[in-house]
Amino acid sequence: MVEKALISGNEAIGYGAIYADCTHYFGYPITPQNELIEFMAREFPELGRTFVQAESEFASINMVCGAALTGVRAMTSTASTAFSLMQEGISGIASMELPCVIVDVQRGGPGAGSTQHSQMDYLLATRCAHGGYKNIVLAPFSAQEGFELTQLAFYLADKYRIHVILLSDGLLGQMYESVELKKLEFPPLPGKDWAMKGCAAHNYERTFIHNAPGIIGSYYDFMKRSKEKYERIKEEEVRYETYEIEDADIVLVSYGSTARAAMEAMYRARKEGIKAGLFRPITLWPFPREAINKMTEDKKNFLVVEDCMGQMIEDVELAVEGNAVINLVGSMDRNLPTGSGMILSKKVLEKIKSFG
Amino acid sequence: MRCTNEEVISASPLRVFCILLLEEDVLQREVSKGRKMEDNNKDLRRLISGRPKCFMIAGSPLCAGCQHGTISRIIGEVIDDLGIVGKTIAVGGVGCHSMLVMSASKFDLTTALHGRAPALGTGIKRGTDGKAIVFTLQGDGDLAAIGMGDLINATVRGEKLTTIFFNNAGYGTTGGQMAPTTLIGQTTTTTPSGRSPDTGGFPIHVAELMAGLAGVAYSARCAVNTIAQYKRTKKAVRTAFQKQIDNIGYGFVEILSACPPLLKMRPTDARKWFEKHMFAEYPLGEFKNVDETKIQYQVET
Amino acid sequence: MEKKKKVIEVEINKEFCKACSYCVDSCPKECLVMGEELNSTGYNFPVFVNQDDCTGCGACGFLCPDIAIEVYEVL
Ligand SMILES: Cc1ncc(C[n+]2csc(CCOP(=O)(O)OP(=O)(O)O)c2C)c(N)n1
Ligand code: SF4
Ligand code: SF4
Ligand code: SF4
Repeated sequence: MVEKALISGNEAIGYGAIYADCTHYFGYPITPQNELIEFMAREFPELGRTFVQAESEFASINMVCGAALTGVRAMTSTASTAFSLMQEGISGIASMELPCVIVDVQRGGPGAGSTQHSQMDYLLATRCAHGGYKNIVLAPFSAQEGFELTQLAFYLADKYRIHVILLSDGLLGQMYESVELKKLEFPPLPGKDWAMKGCAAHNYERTFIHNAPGIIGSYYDFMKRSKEKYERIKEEEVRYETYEIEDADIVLVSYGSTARAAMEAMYRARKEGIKAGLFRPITLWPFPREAINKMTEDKKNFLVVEDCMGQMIEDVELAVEGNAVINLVGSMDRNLPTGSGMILSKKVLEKIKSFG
Repeated sequence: MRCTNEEVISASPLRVFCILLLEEDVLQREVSKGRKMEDNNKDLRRLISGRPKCFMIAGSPLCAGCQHGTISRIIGEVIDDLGIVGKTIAVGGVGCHSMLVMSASKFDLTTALHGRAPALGTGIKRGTDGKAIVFTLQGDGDLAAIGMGDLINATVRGEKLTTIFFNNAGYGTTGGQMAPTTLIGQTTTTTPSGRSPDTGGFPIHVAELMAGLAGVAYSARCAVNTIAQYKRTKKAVRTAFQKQIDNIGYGFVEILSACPPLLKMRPTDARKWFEKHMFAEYPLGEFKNVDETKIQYQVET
Repeated sequence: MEKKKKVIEVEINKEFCKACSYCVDSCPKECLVMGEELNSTGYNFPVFVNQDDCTGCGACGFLCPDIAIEVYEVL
């Protein structure tokens, strides 16, 4: 019998981490991810795993780096303004090629912005900090998917020796949904013989993992290795879902919580005789560029739905290569002018009808 | 990714020196000569002072007269003495202070981002279930400026780590700018007419500060100008490691380290300048040495 | 009976030396002097001139920042 629980999206990610055998969590409180750090503080010590409340996100991301260096499964979670604070640390992790998972439960910005939902970190998460590295970005659109993608995130991190960003948002995080708790099975992974445990573990040959690939060792080799890794991920790990896409005249492109409003609008449009479909990227990097490009053979109208002033739309623009018309339903289309405002299906439906 | 020693050497600020060595194959010759010497005389001679066993035979990437070198050697000797080379993990900060250990150590090591060594060390310590002996190498820019919060909070969390703090009264790596430890009146490239309290503030006394924190088991300030100071420093570093090994608390040693280029002086003059001015501002001594970290007050639950 | 004098060897790895002269300064017995000859990087390294007075205190080796000096006791 499968276990079922009514939990918040934030807790679902916590459960995902437990089911993925993550043993080390480091975090710092920030709304709207607080349920996650509190869940970890409750559950991890009970399970004999490590929970540390850091003094800042500078510290928490660097603690994740340290723990990942030793080969354990480590993660942290945060929200937008503090996700910015972590960027140097994330770049450092990229330079060391360490597997770990970073959860960003997006809130409004810029600055302290709002404490509520938004999707304003897309570019930061997918384009990354300084240094031209890449990271896998997974975007769930339900508590169930948050639970599953967390497990996938740990698997992909270890498979490629790369850090994975789980891009959730305030709405998903705070929403309660029934989740089927089931451990996912993945193919076997390579051992972590690179991990740092004291040189006695490596027959007294020292392990030196550093964050200066352009100073120590061959920069060219580092770049070559990274490039090959990124190409492999682009080839093998693109994930997305399509709904009612075959005969669609207008394709909605949306991820995360707004994909739910988009889906509702799409079905309402269909009821009214408009052939709408939904394309939902799950990996934001690698972005399903080819799949979208292929659609432009017979579909010329794309409506991007995202809760910001237009970020993912840039990727869609690149994907269609000028062969389609793209409109945006963005944060200007929220139902309220405050931080609580949301993109509702009604507005999306309006935009479908007035497309052009 | 494991790095060879030659690769590390090419990283140093004095890479010209080292590359020269490499190009002329001198280093290789010296290395093999050194090994041969070791082999031949294994039982016939006792090493009194010299290269610690946990250091590879490699040229130092530091400037002439940089006392960071002497301090690095002390760390090596202590690790040898304690017999912990197999389970030691060093976390180097950003700056000259970690460069000799980086190029020579036989124990595991990693590099932290600027100021973040105690946080990285925390992750490593927790990741190894407390089994590894983790220490950080940090300079006055790395520790007292950008990394002050990380250090203090590591002790607040009660981490059992060891920190060796290289105080050279300025930023070495970036070319001699002011550090929080720079003396009043001292000229640096960012205090061209001397550090003024009005605009540049005051020197910070980290060893005393650390002594006031509950999680700290050992805090001392030392120097390496004379052989007597050298011996006291070695003892202090050893104790700071021992506090971690015995799981008592945070071990901290601040060591005054002359940086001749910063002072634009010859090495011997820089050392004298340190004796005259630095020792006056930063008194040497042990500020805390306890065998248990005490709890003052506890809420009943 | 006269105590048998320890035989000390002071080895200077001239290629590692950067001529800071800390060793010369710190030797209590003035056994070391800075030499004239240059190593391959242009530093004049010290020479061990006074084997007789050397006590094997190790100070030169302990304080050399470049690990260029090794002091041994011959057993
Ligand atoms: C975040 C960040 N800011 C600035 C730098 C540039 N930087 C490198 S080393 C250094 C100063 C190091 O000084 P200190 O810690 O005193 O070490 P020393 O070189 O004197 O041993 C600075 C500012 C950096 N690497 N990272
Ligand atoms: S700049 Fe100063 S701290 Fe850096 S290696 Fe040279 S002497 Fe040492
Ligand atoms: S061992 Fe002592 S006495 Fe001998 S040369 Fe070195 S410093 Fe001088
Ligand atoms: S202390 Fe070392 S580096 Fe300095 S002069 Fe003597 S041998 Fe050379």
